[in-house]
Amino acid sequence: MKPESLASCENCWFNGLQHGSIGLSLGYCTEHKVVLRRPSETTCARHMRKDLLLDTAVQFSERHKKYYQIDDQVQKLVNYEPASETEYVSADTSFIRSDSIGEALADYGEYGTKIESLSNLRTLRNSRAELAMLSLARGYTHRCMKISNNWKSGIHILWWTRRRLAEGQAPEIYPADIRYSTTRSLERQVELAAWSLLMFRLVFISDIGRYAAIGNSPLAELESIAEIAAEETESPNLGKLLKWIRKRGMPILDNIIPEKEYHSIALSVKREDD
Amino acid sequence: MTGNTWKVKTHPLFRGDKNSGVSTPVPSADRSIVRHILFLEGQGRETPYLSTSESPDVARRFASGLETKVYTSAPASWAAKGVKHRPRTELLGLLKGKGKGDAAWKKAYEVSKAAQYVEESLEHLADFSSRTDLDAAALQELTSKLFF
Repeated sequence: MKPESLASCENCWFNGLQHGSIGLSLGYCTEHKVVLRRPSETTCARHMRKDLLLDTAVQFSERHKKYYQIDDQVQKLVNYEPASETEYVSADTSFIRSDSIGEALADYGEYGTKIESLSNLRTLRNSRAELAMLSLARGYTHRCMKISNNWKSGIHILWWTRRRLAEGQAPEIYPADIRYSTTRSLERQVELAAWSLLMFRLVFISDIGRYAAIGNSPLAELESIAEIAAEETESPNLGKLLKWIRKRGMPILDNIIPEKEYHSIALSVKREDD
Repeated sequence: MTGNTWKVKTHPLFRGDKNSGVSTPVPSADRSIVRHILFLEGQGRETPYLSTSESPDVARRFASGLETKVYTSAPASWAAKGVKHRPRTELLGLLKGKGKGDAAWKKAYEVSKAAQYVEESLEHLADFSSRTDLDAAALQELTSKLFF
């Protein structure tokens, strides 16, 4: 990904259709409700980088907002001007609805709660859907914290993600998932994409740990899980990361949030909602 | 030319940038390789490095957008101009754990993301950090000679 693109819609957690070299050539912004036709060339004041840990992403966002100040629509990266309808964005979602994930994103939060929409993405059971779910879940939990200081809003997504990690399998990437070629071989590109998704699971769990720390919960210890994984596996190596998750990651998770604790927190969330 | 067959003496590097000329590096800026690769300062950032790729396809993607072009450069000629070539293999060797040398960084996760990007983009750096003797105009002239 080119450096400037890291600040574009292509790398924003409100765009669930793209994640690095995985995804469609079109993006979709769940904030402005538009199809992104040239996502590597646009951004806005709400941009949040999906490739960074929470604190660094927030710091980047603060700097980004000094240059990109339009909050209610997408703007061009190159000259800060509003991005025009038709050339850069389209409010018509009919085209992306032929893709199951595109349809789920176009309906995000429209016919129920956002957590229901995230649950729908979870049931699609493929890597692109999971990347979309985790991406939007980062935005969802961040907003819940900002609005109501509610770190528990992401507890179910945390548990779903823990279950995926417990399966101990490499995420499956298919030819149709790849939107451009990278690196020296297709085999390595697919391996790096799978590594990136595994890491993204850990990054989401780290987000919940960060919020739990603000809420003075013992789950605060989850904050360091992505960092520990990266430090102990040393480099982007899928096999090493899978092994780390099995031998070190799952015991850490089971110790910090055993199933009984999850059900207890889930019950308290249900009572608050009722 | 990509992958393990790339050789500094015989193969060029490519960079996508504005068609009015490649960006001007700032030799005195922070030398952190992680900060550079992850574009952590965002818009308006200063960097002593220019990123390049073994792959013209990657450079074309970097050049996507209006009024851009793909530049070619011969890294074997850089040393004579005081510009250091930091090859992909060196970068990947430094980007491990919490990083080493110019790639030392406080967060291993960010080091690993930088390593991912270097590998995906077949990235090499042109390191201008020793050319603090040049002003912006002289640097612009130098980059226009190195990248054509």
